Amino acid sequence: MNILRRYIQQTLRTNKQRTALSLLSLILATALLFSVTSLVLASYRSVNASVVQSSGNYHVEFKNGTQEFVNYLEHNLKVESLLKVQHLGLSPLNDSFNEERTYLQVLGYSKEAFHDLGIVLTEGRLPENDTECVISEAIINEAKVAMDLQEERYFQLGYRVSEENRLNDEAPLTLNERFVMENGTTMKIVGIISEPSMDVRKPYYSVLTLFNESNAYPMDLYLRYHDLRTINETTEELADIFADEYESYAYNEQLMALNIFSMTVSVDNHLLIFIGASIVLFLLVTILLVRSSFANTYINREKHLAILKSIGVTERQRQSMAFYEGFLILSLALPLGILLGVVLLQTSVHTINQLLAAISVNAIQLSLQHEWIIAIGSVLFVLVVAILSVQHSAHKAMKKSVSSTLHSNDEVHNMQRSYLNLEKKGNIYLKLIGKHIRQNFKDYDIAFLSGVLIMTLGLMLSSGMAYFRESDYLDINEHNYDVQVKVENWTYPTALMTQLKQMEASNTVLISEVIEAQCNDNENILDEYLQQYGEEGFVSLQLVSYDDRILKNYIEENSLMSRAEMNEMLEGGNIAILLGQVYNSAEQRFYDLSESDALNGILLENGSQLAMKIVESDVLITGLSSREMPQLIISRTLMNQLVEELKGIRTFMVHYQSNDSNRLARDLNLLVQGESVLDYDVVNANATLQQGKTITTLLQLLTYGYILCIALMMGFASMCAVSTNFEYRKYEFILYRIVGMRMKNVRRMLAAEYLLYFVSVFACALICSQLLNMFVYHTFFASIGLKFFVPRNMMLIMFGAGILIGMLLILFASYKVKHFSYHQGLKNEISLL
Amino acid sequence: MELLNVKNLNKIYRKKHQEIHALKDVNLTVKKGEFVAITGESGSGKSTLLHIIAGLETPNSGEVILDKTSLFSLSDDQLTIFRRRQIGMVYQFYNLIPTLTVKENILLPLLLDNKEVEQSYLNQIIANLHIEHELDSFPYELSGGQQQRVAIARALIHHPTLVLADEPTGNLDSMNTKEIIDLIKLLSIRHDTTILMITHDMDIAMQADRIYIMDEGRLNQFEE
Repeated sequence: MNILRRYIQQTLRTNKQRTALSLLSLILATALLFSVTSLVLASYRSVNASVVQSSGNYHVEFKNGTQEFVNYLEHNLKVESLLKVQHLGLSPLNDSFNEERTYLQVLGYSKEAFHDLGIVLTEGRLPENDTECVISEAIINEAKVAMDLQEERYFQLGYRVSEENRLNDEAPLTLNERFVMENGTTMKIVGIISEPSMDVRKPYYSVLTLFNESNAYPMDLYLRYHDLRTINETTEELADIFADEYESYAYNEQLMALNIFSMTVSVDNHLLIFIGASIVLFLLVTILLVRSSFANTYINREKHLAILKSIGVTERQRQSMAFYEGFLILSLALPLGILLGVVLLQTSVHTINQLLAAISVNAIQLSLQHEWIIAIGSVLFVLVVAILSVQHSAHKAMKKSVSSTLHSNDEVHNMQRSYLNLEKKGNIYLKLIGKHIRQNFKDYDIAFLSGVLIMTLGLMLSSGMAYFRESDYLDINEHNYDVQVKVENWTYPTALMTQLKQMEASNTVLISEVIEAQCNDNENILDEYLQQYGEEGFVSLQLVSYDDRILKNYIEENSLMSRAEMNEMLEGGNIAILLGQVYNSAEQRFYDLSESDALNGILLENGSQLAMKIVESDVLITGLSSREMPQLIISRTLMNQLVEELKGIRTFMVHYQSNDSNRLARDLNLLVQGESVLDYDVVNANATLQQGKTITTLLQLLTYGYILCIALMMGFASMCAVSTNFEYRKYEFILYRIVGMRMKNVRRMLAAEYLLYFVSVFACALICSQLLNMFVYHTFFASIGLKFFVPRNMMLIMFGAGILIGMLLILFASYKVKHFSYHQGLKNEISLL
Repeated sequence: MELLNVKNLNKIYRKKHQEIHALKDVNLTVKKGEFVAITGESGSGKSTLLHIIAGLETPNSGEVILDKTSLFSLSDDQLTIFRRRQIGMVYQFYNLIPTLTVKENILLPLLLDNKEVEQSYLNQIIANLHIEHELDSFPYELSGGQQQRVAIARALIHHPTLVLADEPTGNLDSMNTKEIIDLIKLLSIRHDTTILMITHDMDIAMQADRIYIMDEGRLNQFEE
């Protein structure tokens, strides 16, 4: 065998620890590259499938489109596909077991619509003409109506009316409604489908037949565009040109959000930059890990290579040696890496699926797919980086002058002056620490970079999660409610409000009231605000009241006023807290209403005027206040007085907590609202949250996993660098020990050195993370009025973790110094130098 | 007056499944001011004995008494301080701290003990060793002979009662070897220092007051 190859084999065998570290680094890099990429792809596919399943594979829906509009869309080059759904009508399902769902909705789907609107066939086949149909399995399972495959059934077709007004198909059932039949059709049941997700909480079940163009039923059109980036322009253009050819249009925001292209181009770009940066960071960290494993191997071997060069090893032979070493290590590391990747992937998918299933029975489940193209890609990436790294490291080591390499010590880099400064008095240990720091700081650059990166990511994650929690409007955790009713009206809807307050089987947790007012106090309103938002010298604002408990907490938490003032306010005094900033999204800035401590000329709808003492604040009450209009938060007592005076209220909100939020929401929907009610809206926060919770959890898991992978790889890269450098450091400490340095002082020096590195890493991470935090906050969250969040707890945790890791490292290092084998080790170290 | 007393020293190294008996019942007595040489083949246990006498390694059994102090009854800290004050070490491969200058290397034992530098003594030593022009150099800038002189200066700077030299000339040419040995002898006489030197060169050993031969872990006095 070639002598140089034998040398490589022998070196790898002798330096077992170093070889193992290189192998592990490469295995880890390959495994994480493969498993993370596969996991992200699997998650994207599963979420995509779930969104398509629940909301359909289209971008925009035009309700009730005409044939002329269809003809145009079918020939529009920007439209990738057009799905058509005919509304044949409702059909009564009189023997339904579920009293809340007593209709069938009969729809005609085009062939593409069956495929792209999330229809899942569980039995039989899809209809081939308009005399065949498929039925929702819920008709059999939930409504308990016997319908069999191949059965021919007559369907009455018509609509619902209440007090001679036609009701929307989706409106909840009312007691006095009736069915009006227009026509009827007989169809053969050829298949059963899973209940379409759009049917949930509707008063009907679906029956689907094949779209028939010759029928003149109302038709919904679902469009998919080729280019998502021009979705707004294209849709608005279509909507303008064909304004009379449809009823309304709506975007499939869930699908578009998934495809990153939301409605704002600036957000698109920022999100793309964010995702791009995450990918680039991951690849960079992989490169760093692979590179550092070889770089450190060659630093250890510089003297060997100098000797080889001195006896005539050529550049070509050096290259061949490096390739051979790369080949030996990679031939082991790459298959093992892929194997570990498969295990990691399977474990992660299994764990994530279990976690998601624990959250909701209908949760997304990731489907495990081994993409061999990703495996090949990962292997090729690591292979190329490894070969380049080993070549570069070997080339760098061989380029050094033989005489200087053999004669010098590796730790002495271009050092031209003494460090201890003997002329000056001072503690020798401090001087030695200073010397070490100055000489070695550069060698720990990877460890330094790793520390800064990991801490920055951790702190950013903490801030990011806080913003997402805060931006969740219906913050169920913070306010502990799950159903919200919002009533808008001009008079005070006494009967409805009494009913709302007394809803049985529920627990009212919060009532909030809003009245609208105008203000013309031009002395105290800032000119800038008046110019921007004033109309004929008046600005609009809202007077808002919450429960005294909420108000009291809000005042105390934010130290807004003294106890005496608070008591005065709670007793109905004319004191208000002004949330006086309005965010202008076009200009991306806030406008302040006033900087004064009083606001006069507040005009109510009955013409009466108010003067208020003002306490300014820009802290929102999550889930309640907003920055759409200046708000004066007043006490419940004062609000009651004003409502009494006005005999009316603009907005009335009640929040409930319930054991069965679905039932409560349905009951609230069935309340008789009365004539004065302009708008009545029931929001089932629990259902809304539940829907988004699995995706949010999946995203959180992926984010934590991502940071963990980065931390793992950077940790390994740091370990390679630190272990190489420590070999030299250890030797120096041994020499100190020979001339009489006590272990206590060795430990103190190690501790001081670690502390200095750690404090620099921590400070850099704080600066980087807070700069990033500011960027992210101003880009994404300032516009929705959130507070800037400083992750204090995470900072403390990281500081504590850093100190703990430091203590462990110091114990390990001092153990190695104390238990050094002078008999064997000293000679070996000396011969190495 | 007896300075060093080594009694029944045994040292066993375990390597994989093999036991190496490096020292077997070694006994040695050195008087104050004496120059003693230990010679023997490579691997006979000379360096092990030296490391144990220096308190750098611990024996499996036996005792080392230096200047009426039993070394292994001391704690690690006490032993380190004892070594710092009482022992000077010279190695074949110099063992200078590569990142410190010559002057810093020489003064290190004093600095670690927070002791003032005795300038006249320092000048005397560096003049005797002919390294007065190299004080600001780094070890790697010196020749082997010069580095060994620096190591000797470091071993003597704190007035040790015992200097342990582990093949101090093993890495030097004959000219330097002679100079170094002469210097060691001269300095030991001038400063009343006891020297225990290990060498495998019989000619060098012959310059000592007494010679011991180490053979497979056993120490025997050489009789001419």
